[in-house]
Amino acid sequence: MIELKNIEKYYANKGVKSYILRHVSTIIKQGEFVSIMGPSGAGKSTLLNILGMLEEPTYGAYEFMGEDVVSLNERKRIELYRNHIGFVFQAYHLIDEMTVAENIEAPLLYKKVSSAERKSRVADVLDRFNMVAKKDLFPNQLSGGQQQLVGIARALVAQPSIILADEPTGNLQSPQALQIMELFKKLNEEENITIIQVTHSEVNAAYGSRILHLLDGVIKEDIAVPQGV
Amino acid sequence: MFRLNLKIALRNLWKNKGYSTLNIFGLSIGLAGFIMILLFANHERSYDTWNSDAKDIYRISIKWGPGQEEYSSSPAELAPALKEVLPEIVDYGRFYVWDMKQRLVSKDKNENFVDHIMGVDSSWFNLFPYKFIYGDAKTSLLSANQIVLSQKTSELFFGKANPVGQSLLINTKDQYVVSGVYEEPNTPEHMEHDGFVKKSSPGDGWGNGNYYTYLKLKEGTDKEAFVRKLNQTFKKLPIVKEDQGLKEVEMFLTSVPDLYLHASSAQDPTKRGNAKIVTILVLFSSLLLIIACINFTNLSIAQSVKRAKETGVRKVLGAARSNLITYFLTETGIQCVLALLLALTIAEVGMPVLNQLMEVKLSLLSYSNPGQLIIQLSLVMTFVVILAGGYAAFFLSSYEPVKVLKGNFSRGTGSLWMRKTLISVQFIVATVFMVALMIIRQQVTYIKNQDAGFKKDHVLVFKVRKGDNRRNFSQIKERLLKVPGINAVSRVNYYPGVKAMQVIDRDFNGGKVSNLSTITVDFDYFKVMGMPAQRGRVFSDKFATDSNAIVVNESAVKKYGLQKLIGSKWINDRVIIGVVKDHIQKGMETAAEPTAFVVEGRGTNSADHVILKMDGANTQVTLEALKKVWTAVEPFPFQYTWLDQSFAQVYVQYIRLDKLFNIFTYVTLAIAVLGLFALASFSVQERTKEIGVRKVLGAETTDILRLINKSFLVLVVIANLIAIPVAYILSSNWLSGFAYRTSITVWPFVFASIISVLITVLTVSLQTFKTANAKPVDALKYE
Repeated sequence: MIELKNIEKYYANKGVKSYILRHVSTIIKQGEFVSIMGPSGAGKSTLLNILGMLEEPTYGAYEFMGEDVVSLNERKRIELYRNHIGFVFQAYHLIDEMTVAENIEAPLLYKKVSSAERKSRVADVLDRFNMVAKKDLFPNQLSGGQQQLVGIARALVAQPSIILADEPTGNLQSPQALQIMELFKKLNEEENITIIQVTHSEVNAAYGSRILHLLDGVIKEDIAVPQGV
Repeated sequence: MFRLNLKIALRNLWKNKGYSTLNIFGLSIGLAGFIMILLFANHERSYDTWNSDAKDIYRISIKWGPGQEEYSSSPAELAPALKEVLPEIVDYGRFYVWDMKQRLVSKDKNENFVDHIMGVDSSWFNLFPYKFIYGDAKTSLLSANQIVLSQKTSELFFGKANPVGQSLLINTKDQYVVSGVYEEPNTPEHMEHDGFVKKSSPGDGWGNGNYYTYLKLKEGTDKEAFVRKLNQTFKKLPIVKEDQGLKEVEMFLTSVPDLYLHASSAQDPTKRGNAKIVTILVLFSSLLLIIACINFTNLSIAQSVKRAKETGVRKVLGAARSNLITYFLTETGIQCVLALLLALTIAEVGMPVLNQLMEVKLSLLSYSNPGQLIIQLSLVMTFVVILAGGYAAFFLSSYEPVKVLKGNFSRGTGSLWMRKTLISVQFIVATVFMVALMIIRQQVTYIKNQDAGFKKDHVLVFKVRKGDNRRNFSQIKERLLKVPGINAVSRVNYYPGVKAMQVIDRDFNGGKVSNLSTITVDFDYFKVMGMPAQRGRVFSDKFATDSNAIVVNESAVKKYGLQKLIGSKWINDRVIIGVVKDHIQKGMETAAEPTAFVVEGRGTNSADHVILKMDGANTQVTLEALKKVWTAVEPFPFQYTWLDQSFAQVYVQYIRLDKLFNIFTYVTLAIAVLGLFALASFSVQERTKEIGVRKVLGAETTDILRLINKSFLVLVVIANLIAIPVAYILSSNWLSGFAYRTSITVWPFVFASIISVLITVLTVSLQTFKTANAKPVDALKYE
């Protein structure tokens, strides 16, 4: 599903190149649950941003579902966002002025889903996440864990094939974090959704099927997680 | 999608109540000012537009020879002669200058003075098709004793009843039969009229331009080409070949809708607007609106940090840039609509003030052409939404989500520069307004204190209605002088402030004396007016020969080289007995014209106004006594004017302009301060951490104030540097339209600069003080 070839990212400052990513090549298949780990400054978030097409690599090739996306125009990229990619952020990034239901509905609006179907899909998702009672609340009326649940619900409602999550539990306490990870695992296993997350936590990484260790912009280790832990 | 956008936008507005209010309020003030001026400008431009034929109807004006003035009147014989040879002329209509007098109209005991009954051709209503309520336009002016009344005049005498066939007595001797009543049109007109009669003379000969001639041309006739043809054809007329006086005549045409604002001829009885003032007002009110839009943009961008996250999230959820632009424009649109509603309210409430200033009767609710207004307002609102919301929408939608979502987002310097530029533009306009206001005020003061060349206080003017009373005036004068409090009595036709004038051309000693303004007076005129002789003496009834003498003003001496002729015979065999100082006759725009004064006699016009000087003590008692004496002489209602009040009419429009500019300037300053306030507050918020660090490093509150003020003062100084030359060019341009004008000094510029700097320092310091004075630890904890 995803193929990275020789991805490089650097910033040139007064002629000195400071590398964020070097020679990153990897293949991620449909249905994998990949955790990107590494110390601060290793390039984890940059790699995720490149995967999410929020940043462009300085060099290298990136194919998403068989399509070269490095040179993709804005319209095509927006199409990918609408149909294939869901984002989950560390700081949740819900829209403060929208209620829970409206936040979840937003991606469907941009996808131009009909009103009746929007209603039913939002209702489904709310039901699945046990948030029907909270649908008319605003984000600041929810706890952090609940906000992140809404964030994931919003990412899921458009039925993406991949979820990109940047430290999804970074702002959460451990019981809530566990709940989110369980959810990710379930989505991955039951619905075959590809998940790529950046995380600091070994515990979280263990939920996945594969771990990429980054150090100074280079993939040091690429290991499969033994299942059934 | 739209409904959700609307909902979210409203929630956003509600959340930022303070800024939304500032935003909407600032914009609505600008809009209100613009709407009010728009109403006024529409009114000024609506003259004669009721008449759909008006664009094909032209009034002829004439230059009798090269270098002469263009006069709006023409001989009666002209129009028929032209119509015979020019097929483009469909019809013509004329009115007669000597019919334009005030008339005493009576119906039994019901007596009223009616000011404007025009004497016209019976074809008049072909050119000006008023809607007849009673009677028939075609047959209404066939004979000399028919009269057509305006609805208002008709109601004065007959109430709502149909008066056709009833009779009216005019000037106590002539019987007229009412033949029609017409509805006053719903747009103002260049001529005032209360009724029409058939003109009292078929023509006074080619040498007398006593008529105002209107030609109706075939639809779509090209004006320029027709004027050329008109002049060429005229030269070939047999009468022109015979009459030397007509050889050099040049004719001009002014279309009826242009008469009010653009007529250029002298001696015009039409109402005159001032196209320049209309343009100035529209220009400045647009500036006001633009300033308000700029303010709006500034406030929106200043809040953009708060919106940046939202924008980024929307983008990764799949929003295209166009979705976001639509969304932000929706938000701006809502605010603009709210501002418009508020502005309409403000305008409706403020309209009486404008009405009083400009002497019009306009109101939003009872506006005569709502369709036009709605179209104009929709256009303006579209423009406002794009101008006010466009940049913010463009700017906000351009955020790259990755920068925003990482959370360490700070505004790019690009937007700050933009906002600084916008603030500078506001201050440029504000300074220009301030300078303009001060210079207008200076000029108005100058005009008011300008030596008019005569003493205008306690001088009373009223009309002599019977010719006999003019001829036997010396007895009446004796009786008037006996009234205690009256110091001097005389008569005059064109007293200062009257725009009409008799202008004559005479041959003298083989040369030509042309364009000599001639005022007919009676003895003691110069005593009443306090105009002493500069050389020689003025008229006195002690010299029998004075009724055949002439007094000239300094301009006449200069123009015709009369230095050596004082005391000897000049035109019409009149002896120049003295020279008086120039006086202001028509207004401050025109320099004193060469003028001669003659005593009423044979061959002069009639001095048909009594003008008298009171001593100013017990004015009311004197006035009562005068009224008693005069109504014994002429048994009509006593109507009078004070010379100082009627003379003030020549500059009243500039006093109005002064007052309007007052309002403009304060509103502009208020909006600019609003914008500055917002920018300062955001700039302080942005620099909270920097301020904290500086304080820890030992900076005092005053240092911080100085630091923040400095960045704003630079902007204001730059704005002033740009504004000063602009204001100078604008105001010297405006002043050059006056013959009597003040000189531009450095002070308005200095004051305006000082005021703008003071306002800036005050506003910014007020905003900064709290942050600058706070404990640094709070600022540093902030992140």
